[in-house]
This record gives sequence, structure tokens and C-alpha cells, in this order.
Amino acid sequence: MTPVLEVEGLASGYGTSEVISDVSFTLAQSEVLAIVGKNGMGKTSLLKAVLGFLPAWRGNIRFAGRDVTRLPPHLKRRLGLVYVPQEHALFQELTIRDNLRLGLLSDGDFGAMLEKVGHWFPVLTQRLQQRAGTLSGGEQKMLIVARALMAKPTVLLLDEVTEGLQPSLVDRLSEVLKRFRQDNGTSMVVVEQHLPFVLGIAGNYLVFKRGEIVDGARVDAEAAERIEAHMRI
Amino acid sequence: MPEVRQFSQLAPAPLGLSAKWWMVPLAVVIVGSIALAPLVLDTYMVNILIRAFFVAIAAITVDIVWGYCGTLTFGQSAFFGIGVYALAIIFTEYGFGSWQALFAMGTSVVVAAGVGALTGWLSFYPGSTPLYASIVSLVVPIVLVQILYSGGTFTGSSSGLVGFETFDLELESWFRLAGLSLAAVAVVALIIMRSDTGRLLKALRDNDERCSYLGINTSRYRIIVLVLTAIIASLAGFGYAAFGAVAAPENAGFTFGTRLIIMVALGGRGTIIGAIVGALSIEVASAYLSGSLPYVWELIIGIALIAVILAFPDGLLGAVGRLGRGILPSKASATTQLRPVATADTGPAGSEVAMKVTGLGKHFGSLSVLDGVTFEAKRSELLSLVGPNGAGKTTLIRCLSDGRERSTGFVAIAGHAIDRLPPDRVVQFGLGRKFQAASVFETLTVAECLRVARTHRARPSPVSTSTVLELPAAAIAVVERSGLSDRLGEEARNLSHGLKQALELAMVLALEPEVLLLDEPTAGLTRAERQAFADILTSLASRDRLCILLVEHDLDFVREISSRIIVLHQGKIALDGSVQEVVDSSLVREIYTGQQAAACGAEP
Amino acid sequence: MLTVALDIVTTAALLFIISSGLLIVFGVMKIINFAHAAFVTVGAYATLVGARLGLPWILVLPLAFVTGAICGALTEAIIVRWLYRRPLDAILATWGLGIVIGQIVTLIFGREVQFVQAPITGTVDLLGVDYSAYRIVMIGAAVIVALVFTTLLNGTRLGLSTRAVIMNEMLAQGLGVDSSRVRLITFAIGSGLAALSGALITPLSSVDPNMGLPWLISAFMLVMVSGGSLMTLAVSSLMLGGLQVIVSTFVNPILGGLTIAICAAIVLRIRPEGFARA
Repeated sequence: MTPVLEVEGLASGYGTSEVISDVSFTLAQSEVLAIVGKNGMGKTSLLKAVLGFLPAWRGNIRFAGRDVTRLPPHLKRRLGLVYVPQEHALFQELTIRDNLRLGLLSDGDFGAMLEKVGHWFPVLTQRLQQRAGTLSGGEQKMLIVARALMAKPTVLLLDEVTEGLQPSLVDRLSEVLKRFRQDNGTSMVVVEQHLPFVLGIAGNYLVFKRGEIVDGARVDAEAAERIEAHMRI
Repeated sequence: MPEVRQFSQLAPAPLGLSAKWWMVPLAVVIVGSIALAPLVLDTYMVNILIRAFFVAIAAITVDIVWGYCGTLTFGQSAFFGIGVYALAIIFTEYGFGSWQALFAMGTSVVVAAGVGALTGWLSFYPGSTPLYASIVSLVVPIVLVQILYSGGTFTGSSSGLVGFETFDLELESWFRLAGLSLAAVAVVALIIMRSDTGRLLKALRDNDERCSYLGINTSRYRIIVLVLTAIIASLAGFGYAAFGAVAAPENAGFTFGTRLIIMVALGGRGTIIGAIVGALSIEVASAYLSGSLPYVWELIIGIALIAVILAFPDGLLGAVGRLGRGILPSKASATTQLRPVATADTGPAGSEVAMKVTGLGKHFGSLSVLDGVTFEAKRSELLSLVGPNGAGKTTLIRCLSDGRERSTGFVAIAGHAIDRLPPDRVVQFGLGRKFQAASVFETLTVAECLRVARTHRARPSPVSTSTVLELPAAAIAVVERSGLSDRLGEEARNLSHGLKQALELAMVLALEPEVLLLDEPTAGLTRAERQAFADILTSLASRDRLCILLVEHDLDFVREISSRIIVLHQGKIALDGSVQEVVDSSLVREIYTGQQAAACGAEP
Repeated sequence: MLTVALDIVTTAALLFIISSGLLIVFGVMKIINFAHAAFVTVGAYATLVGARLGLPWILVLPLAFVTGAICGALTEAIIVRWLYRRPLDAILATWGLGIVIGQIVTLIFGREVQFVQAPITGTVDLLGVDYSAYRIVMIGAAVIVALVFTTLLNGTRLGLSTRAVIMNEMLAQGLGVDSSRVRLITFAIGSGLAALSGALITPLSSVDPNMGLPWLISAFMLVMVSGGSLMTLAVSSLMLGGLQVIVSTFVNPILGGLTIAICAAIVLRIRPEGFARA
């Protein structure tokens, strides 16, 4: 079976500084891959490079067997590669409704998808006309995730999605994502600091350090310990 | 004696004006050239250059306001024009003489300062935007020119004023006078802009809000800069008219103002030298080319401007500088020493209450985000503010740090009521606020950011750049633990998210606040970093007796370090008590997990 | 009295048409196009060419619009595209472009003032006053422009994508929006509108290389005061345009020319959002 996403020898950075070097991994259908590591190690940059927001200096990226290394971000999205950014992930001035509309490529299926959103995060559908900027941090995260799921992604890239969320919401999110994956076969790459959350949903993990992958294995009972050993240094 | 730690900057240090061996020979060469040039150049060129020198002085003022402070100003020409007309009108009305000259100079300075102050008041106020300031700077010369047009014979209307008697100096003397004036203005400008005060101006340009929250009255600084540059520009105009014996509305208009900007843009903004290079080049080239190729010359300037903005935003000087940096070996970097500052007296034991809030409310029309919030916080207290999403935590932080935010209620910080005061005043009472997203100065180095953060406590020198960075022990601890101490010379924009957060924290601690407001400070930090952070906070509360209020979601963190927890729910205080009381409370469990039960219908 | 009132309405209509193109570009892109005046001039000269070729007015207007749109598209692609992160620099670069266009026009057509015949001549009897028929038509044109573009922006998916792109381009791209195309289209439309307004005003005044400039400042101030809403722009045009006419007629024409600029500066000082959401 062709992996749904293959990254090989990817290198990228800002200006003259190389932030990620020689990164390779593959993602199968329905697989959830956790990418963990200390702050400032380049995890967000990795996602941005995969999406094309950062230039790929070396290496290549394949999506369902097709070379997409040079494809611009908006075309990658159209293929089904959906991004949930860590920062600046919402249009603060637009309403919840308009933010959600933008999750889909056209307005055709909007009504049906809106219903789904109502199941996952009812608070959103209750306040469709409210401007996104007036929502609390947690509500904003819910909106961002809902918008991403509406797109029925083939691959979902989540960047620190639990940041700033209260524990009950983190659990809810975990639930929604697991269920969604079960129903749709979505693959996910989850960049996270919150180990319990990410180890709860991931099947495999990679440890990212100084722009490189230094360790990786299946998620099992000792995974948390092994990962923390890396983070301590 | 506190230990002085030394850290080297990794990037090459910018050319400072500390004494360097080549300064004296350079000065001699410049002064010599100015003195001897008129003997070598032809009369036409000398004439052009004299005018160009005065225009270059005006261009320097544009560079200061735009390149350093970040305000795109089309209006410096108005001040130039004020100088021109002050001289022309007074000499026309009263003839020429020493008292008339002094009177004219005085008028020029006073009127320019007045108009500058008015323009500044109009442009720079809490909440203004750089775009609005540009708009105002556009309107000022237009209004001035219209006033000149409607002045009848007093101002000469559209023809201007000619034929008035003026200073009678030899051409060579004018050249030397103008040249040396330009050199003097340039030297003073360079000294000030390279000093710590210059860094502060750049900080204003990079992040006005952060400056406010460091206790800096940004509007006042900008207005002062504008008034001073207005005076200098008017004196340049004065000299220009004194030499040329002509005053025309074009000297004051919007087109000339745009011309000055073009000169600075082409030469290289934010360098002072660039303004001079741009001004002299364009004035000289214009004089020679606009006669023979009138429209084409303007066309070339237009294209050059576009090309520069697009491809060489740093102008000619920037391009040359980049080449130079590639060819010349990088200089040995100056070291920045980090020195712990003697902690300020923590205040009389009597003033225990650090923060007092009564009946605080925030409403948007009928939507009530905060309602009836009342609590007191003492020194040495580590108070965590928790609550589900939408509870109003960040709004509360905003209302505590900015007197204009709340709708109702009373807030006092360290015994001072904050009334409707803006953040820079509230910070001066002893408050420090760290934002959720790292708010630092992108184009300044780490060391420079920290230095600017000390502005409120230690006035920056307008003359020198200090190599010793004095910070309170707490700030130094953050700098060292995070690894920033190895990157003092790196520009803040190149730091990762986590390091920017650490930098911002260090900057806030540099204020030596009595009350510290932190909005989700551990977001994005690893467990090890979180632990280090917990240690820092705990010691700040116990050793330095700070009152700390933090908004946090990580309940383990909260439980570990807090002495007290306030639970906010739907804009009201649901619970306010010790860690034990809150953690065991069934109300809290309901607030946090009750929603979850409703949403997914299953118990965790 | 009625004449003054009609003058106010037609001046407002004129201001509205000229400013709306600038508003669309700014309100949506946060970029002030200082070449806007030059595009107005381009439209006027396109009209001149059309008139010389003997084209009927019904073709001249679209010709002007298209010429402006093409200029706008080129401007966006070559200049403005690179300056979205630097709005103040965009002002400067487009000012440079304005200079370039002005010089090119001068090189081709010369400096002299030219005239174009109005498509509708004569006057209309309105409640006992004879008023220029063409000016009345201008009011209708303004209304049509307003309606068409409001619908485009708020009622269409393209409008939503456009607003998204400029609020946060990276985010919009991540959501599948081709931001380059959106910006290009918006800028082209805004510039086309500028050229169209140039075409419309040629019968009222004359055509010379710098004709657009006086309108630039007024349009600029009106856009700032309107905070991004076409509706507010219409109201502002009426209020400030009206003030300008009154001051010009009863006090002093020079002061009248300054009215919009000064009033707008004061309004913005007191209320930074201008008249928006009032």
C-alpha cells in the first residue's frame, strides 16, 4: 500500500539558517504519527516545510505517490493535506460562520458539514454570527479543529493543538479526533508538547531535536519515559 | 560584590561611535575637503552643492523620523518651508540687519516648534497608527502651501518672495558654512542614533505596544523627536533662503516632502549617511539633468524609487554594506557584560496589598465579559487565575494593566489607583505584563531588547552605548537558563518561539515590577523548562516579594506553585481560596468537567 | 439654493466614484495605492483616445475600465505583490509609479490641457433650475458602482476569499485559496474603477497629465474616514463633499479645497475608526 505521505531527506530553513535537516518519515493511511521534542527545535518549521510555506532546499515530499515537493500550499490543501496552525489560525474579524465556510473549498456542502460541527463542538453552532476574535482561547481552538475536520482531510497536520486548553477540552478533542479517524481513515501528524494527549492518540512517535529526527518507535507503555529522557537533556 | 558575567555577542557589532583610530583622520579629511573644495570646483557646482547641503540637513531629519522612528513623513518640507519664509518675510518687511536676522531665526524656530508640536499632538496619541501619522504629515504641507497662496503680497502667493536683501558672504564662505553645518548635524545625529537612545527609537518603531508596557510614553518621545527635527529642518530652510534669496511655495510643499523621502529611500534609510548620499546625489543630478532631459529625469527617479523599494529597501548604503560585509572580515565582537543590579528597596513593610480590585466589570453593549470582580492580592502571593474557556481571564489581565479598558469598577496597583491611565503609566506604578504571544523588538538584538526594557529604571544615554547590561538577578536567571546568554548579539526576529517567550519574560522582569501579570507563560515550554519557570516564579514571590498573578491552564503547574487560586467562570469569580480549597471543591469539578460531560455524553 | 444642493450631490457622487476604487484596494488589502491618481489620469487619456477614434461613449467607458484594470493587474504583479508586509513602502512605491505614469503620459501626449466632449450636453429643468444633465447622470453612475461592488464583496464566495486573503494570506492559502489570483483580481478591479472615474470626469474638467493629483488627497482622506465600508464611503462623500461645496461657495474656494483633508484629519483623531460602525 502506498503510504499516504512520504517525506525524504527534507531540509529547509529561514534566510540562511537551516532549521530542519535530513528529515524522513512515512505516514500510512489511518496512521497517527506524533512528533515530539523540546521547544524551538523546529517542529512547526517541519510542518510548514511539508506544506510549502517554507522552501524545500533538499529532499522531496510525496503525497499518495505523487511528487508534491514544489506544489504551493493552496494546491496541497486541495489535494487533502489540511493544516491546523499553532498561531494565527483564525480570521479574527470574520464570524464563526465565515471562518467555517473557508474550511471548505466551496459553499456547496456547507449545511451538511455544519451539522457535523454541531455534534463535535455544539458551542460553535450556537454562536455562528459571533466574531472569532471575541472567542476565548479554547473556543478558538475548537473552531480551528472543526474547520479542519470539515474539509474531510486525507492528512491532518496538527500543530500544538492542545496549547492553552483546559484538561476536559483536551480529552474532548482526543475523542473527536479518534472517532473521526475511525470513521474516515484520516492520517494525522501531531506536533505536541502535551505527552498524555498525543501518546493517547498516536500509534508511532518521532523525537525531533535541533532540526533532526533523533529517535522514533511505536507508542507503548514505556514510550513516555523514553521521550522524556530526550527532553531532559 | 556581585559577580560580573561576560557573554560575547555572536554577530558583528555595528559600527559604534566609540573612539576608533580612524576618526580623527576622517574628521580632518572631511573638514579639509569642505574648506578646499570651493577652490577646486566650478561656480555652478558650488552653488548646487550649497543648496544641496541644506536640503541634506532636511533629509537627515526625515531619516530620523522615518528610518529610525518608523513614521513615513511627507511633512518635513513644511518645516523647511517655515524656515524659508520666516527669513524671506521678515527680510522683505523689515529689511536686513542683525536684529532682523535674529528675529527671523527666532521666528523660524518658534513657529516650526509650534507646528511640530501641533502635528505631533495630532499624529501621536495612544491608539494612533503609523498610517494616520503619515496622513497628518501629508496634510500639513498642503495646508501650509494653501496659506502661502492666500497670503497676498505678504507671502508672495504663488510667485513667492524675491529680491530681499540677505547675508552678504562670499560663495566660498557659504560653501564652508553649509558644509560644516551639514557635517555637524550629521555627527550629532549619528552619535544620538547609535546611542542607547537611538535603540529606543528603533524599539518604538518595531513594537509600540511593548514599549508602552515597559513604562515608556511612546507618544511623548515621538512628539519630542518631531519637534526637534522640525526645528532643525526649519533652520536648514533658513540657511537655504539666506543663500538663495528666494522663497517659493514649492519649498514647503508636498512634492518637496516626497522628494526628501525619495532621497532617504534611495540613499538608505536608518543610516543618516544614506540621507546625505541620497540628497546630494539627487540634487546634483537634478541640477545637471533636468535641464537637458526634463521628463526623462523624473521618470528615472520614479523607476529608481520603485526599484529601491522592491529590491533594495536598505537603499544604496544597504547594498554597499551587504557587499562590504561579504568582503571584509567580520570584526571581533564587543562583549556585553551582564551585571546584576542591586535590587531596589522592596518598599515599606506596611504596604502589603499589591493589587486591589473592586467591582470590576467589562461590557460590550449587552454582552458582559466581566462582572463584579472583586479581590485583593498581597505581596509574596502567587495567585493563579484559572477558569474554563470564555471565562474572561485575558480580559481581566487587560483591565488590570490598562486603565482605559474596564467599563466599571476600581483597580489599584501597589497602592495607586489606575483610573483611566494608559499602560505606560500603570507600569510605572510597578506592574509588569507578559503577553501570551511573545512581544519583543524584532530588529534589535537580545541585548538591545533587554537594554530598552531597562529604560524606565535607567534612562538611556543619548550619547553612548553601554557595554554593561545591568539586570535584576531574576532577569539574569531567565537569560541564562533559557540559553539566551549565548545569543545576546542575535536579532530577536531570528529566535525561536520559545526563546522569544523567554526574552519577553526577562524584559518584563527587567522592570523590577512589584506586580507581575503573566498570561499563559508556560505555553509551548517543555517539562524541564516549566520546572525551571516554576522555580523562578516561586523565588520571585518569596525572595523578591512580588505579587504574581498568572493565567494558566496547566492545573498541575498551578497546584504546585500557587499560594492561592481564583476560579473565574462566565465573567464572575466562582471561587477564591487556597489551593486545597479549590482543588477539592466540587464546584470546580463541575465547572471543568461538567461541560465535558454535557458535550460528549460520557464520563472520563 | 437648489443649485448648491445639486452641486453637493453631484460633487459627492464624483468623490464617491473616485474613492471607491481606492477603498476596494485599501479596505480589502490595507494598501494605499498612491498611483490611483495616475490611473484616473490613464482613464481620462483612454477616453481622449477613444473620442479621437470616434468611438461612441458606450464603448469608451468599458475601454477606460479595461485599460485601468490592465494597468492595475500589471502594477499588482510587478510592484505591489512584494509589498504586502510593508504597507508604508507600498505607498512610496506606488507614488513612484504615479510619477512614472505621469511622465510617460507627458512624453506621449504632451503637457497641454485637452478637452473631451460630454456625451450628454445641455441642461435639464429641475424644479425651476437649469442643471447640467451630465452631472445628474453622474449620480446614477455612482449608485450603480456602489451596488455592484458591495454585492461582489459581501455576497460572493470570491469576496469572502478576498477578505480572507488580506486578513491572513498564509492562513488563506492553507485553506486552499489561491491568494495571488485573488489579489490580482481585486487590484485590477480597483484600478479599473479609478480609470472609469477618470473617464467620467473628463467632460466636466480638462485632461492633463497631473489631473488626478488633487483628487488623490481627498479620496485618500475619504477612504481613511470610511474604514472599509462602501456604505460609509457614500455617507462620508456626501457629508464632507457637501462641506467642501458650502465652504467653497460661501467662504473661500482655497479653503474649500482644504476642507475634506482637514475635517478628515480631525475626525480620525477623535475617532480612529472614522465614521465606520457609527
